[in-house]
Amino acid sequence: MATRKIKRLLIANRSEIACRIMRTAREMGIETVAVYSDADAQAMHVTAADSAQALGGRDPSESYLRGDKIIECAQRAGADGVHPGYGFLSENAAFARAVTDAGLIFVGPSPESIEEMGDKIRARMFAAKHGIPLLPSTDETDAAAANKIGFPVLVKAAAGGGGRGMRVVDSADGLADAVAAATREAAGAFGDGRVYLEKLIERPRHIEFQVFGDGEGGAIHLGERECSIQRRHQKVIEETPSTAIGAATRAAMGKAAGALTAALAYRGAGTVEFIVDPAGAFYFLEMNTRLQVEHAITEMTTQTDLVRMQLETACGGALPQTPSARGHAIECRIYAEDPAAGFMPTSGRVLLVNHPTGPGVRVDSALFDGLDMPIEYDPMLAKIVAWAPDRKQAIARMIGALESFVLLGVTNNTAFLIDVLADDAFSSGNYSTATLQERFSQWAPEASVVLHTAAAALSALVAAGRADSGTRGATSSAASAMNLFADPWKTLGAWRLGGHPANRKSDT
Amino acid sequence: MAKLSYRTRYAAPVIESALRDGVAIVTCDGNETASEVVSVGAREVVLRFGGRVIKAAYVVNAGHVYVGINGATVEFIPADQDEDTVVRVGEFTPKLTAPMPGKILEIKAAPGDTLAAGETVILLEAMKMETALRVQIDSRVVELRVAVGDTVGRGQVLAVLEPA
Repeated sequence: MATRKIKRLLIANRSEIACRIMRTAREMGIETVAVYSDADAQAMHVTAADSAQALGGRDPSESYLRGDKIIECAQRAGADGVHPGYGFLSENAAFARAVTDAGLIFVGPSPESIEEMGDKIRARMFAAKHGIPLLPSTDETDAAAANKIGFPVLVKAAAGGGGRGMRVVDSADGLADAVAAATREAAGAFGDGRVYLEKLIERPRHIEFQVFGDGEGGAIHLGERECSIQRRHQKVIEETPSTAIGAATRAAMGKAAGALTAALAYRGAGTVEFIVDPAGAFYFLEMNTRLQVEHAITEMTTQTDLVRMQLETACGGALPQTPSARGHAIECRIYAEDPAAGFMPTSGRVLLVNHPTGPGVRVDSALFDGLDMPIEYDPMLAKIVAWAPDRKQAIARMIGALESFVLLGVTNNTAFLIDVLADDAFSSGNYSTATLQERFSQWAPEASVVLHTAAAALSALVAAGRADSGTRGATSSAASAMNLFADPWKTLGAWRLGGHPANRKSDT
Repeated sequence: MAKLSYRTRYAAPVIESALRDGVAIVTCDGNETASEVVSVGAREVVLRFGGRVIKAAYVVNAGHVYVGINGATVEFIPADQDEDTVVRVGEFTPKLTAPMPGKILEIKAAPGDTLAAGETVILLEAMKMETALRVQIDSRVVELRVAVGDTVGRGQVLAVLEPA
């Protein structure tokens, strides 16, 4: 393929991933164009770009899902390439086709590859044809078909993703209802109500391989990502390498992932997802035809820039040699949710944010003080990644990074993540997709030390006049009348700016 | 003395917190802790607690005080006085409470006695082990509410103290 060049790239996405793509584009000397909805007028990706185009609307269906508007913006801004990021239009074949038809470079696979892998039933047939192991499954959804593959079974949507249109069925009794419910849900979510049955593996591992193709049958893989720490089919913590597979299984899975990529004549970044059963056997699950949220852990261990590789392969560039992986990397997703209240989504204004830093720590975030969190989009706030020479150090580094992460104003899952990382199930490496449900469904913040020290800080703040006295029953004059609060310089006692506290014992 | 109260978002026992000579004394659920206030900055309170330096990031917004410690956040909300879950700031009466159920083995002080920070008031036997219950700051014993041999429950007040 003749090599083309992108000079000005429109990023059809928002938040941290838009900012992350822009960083690489800038490094490569490519100008960046942001698009934004009315809800994102103050967002970081707007100011991070060289120029920005308003999409209008707040809801994704009025903004980031409007392919026609996005292509218009690209043309108006004089862009010659479009990067879809993840989510939104990243796996929409019609959008990829429309971008190409408009004479722009789509940074992703061909529309045909997106279609082939986007339909889960077709993707499974394709994988089977190329000798990749599959779980027993059937397109028929009656009890006889289910009995043939054996209960428990999973009812899945052909057009599915993100856990929608999915049901677990333990026996023939509940099958018809589950099929009906999954069909309705799939029709509502994807406009396609087709479902199929698949053998359910209990306590599986969810392991995916990062692949790259050159669009002409050349393919490499960059190792696996372990994504089993999930709640409600949403990934929370990812790590690489996985503790669940040995060298032989890793090689076999990588070979299968590479073969699938090559057979598709796939172009750019993709992810081949597998289920691994407790005995260590692996089965093809699906292929995601985009950059993943968790791509950063692969970048940390292989010292690559996957966005750069995407931009190069989209322009017809050759694939690099398969990089070797080094050390261990973990990603934690910071979500706007309350883990102590059933992971209910939260919102609010970011009052104070301090991102962690230090050797081996990477933060992909678009948070800043004063940001009002839009409620229309994904609740993921930021990604914190830690790399270290081995897994034990990586966990310690990750916990340290989370402990130094400050995000006030929006209730989030940081303390929950720390507890999961410190749990035996995680530190032993012996966990599954069921672990969070089994061990953390009743999670509550470990109150004692935090509550005590926070209360201590509160009384120091009140004494120093930094916080109001609090109650409606007490006026500020009541506070000032109190001896304790009369003079913060006296009551604060033994402290010194930038030094050890003075010993005040002799003063009294 | 006027009550200065905040509540938190989660159900929690009554917390009392007061500052004296640069040391914040907090009681909660039968536990008393002392944190030295190292500094109060524009966005951070530095405390020394249990031998470790703890940095508490904070921000005050619309009367709410948000404190972030080690990745966890506590939001203090101005409270009515009779809320169940309150943090009473600055109206602290030092009390010695039982950190766990047990039996009073020995009482080492009498009402009126003055003890230096760290001195033992009561020896409690719990789980076949002796636990020394000490004062966190220099204190005077106002009242003793138990006798040797008494069985006490978790959180029960054993003695009332006042700063010496």
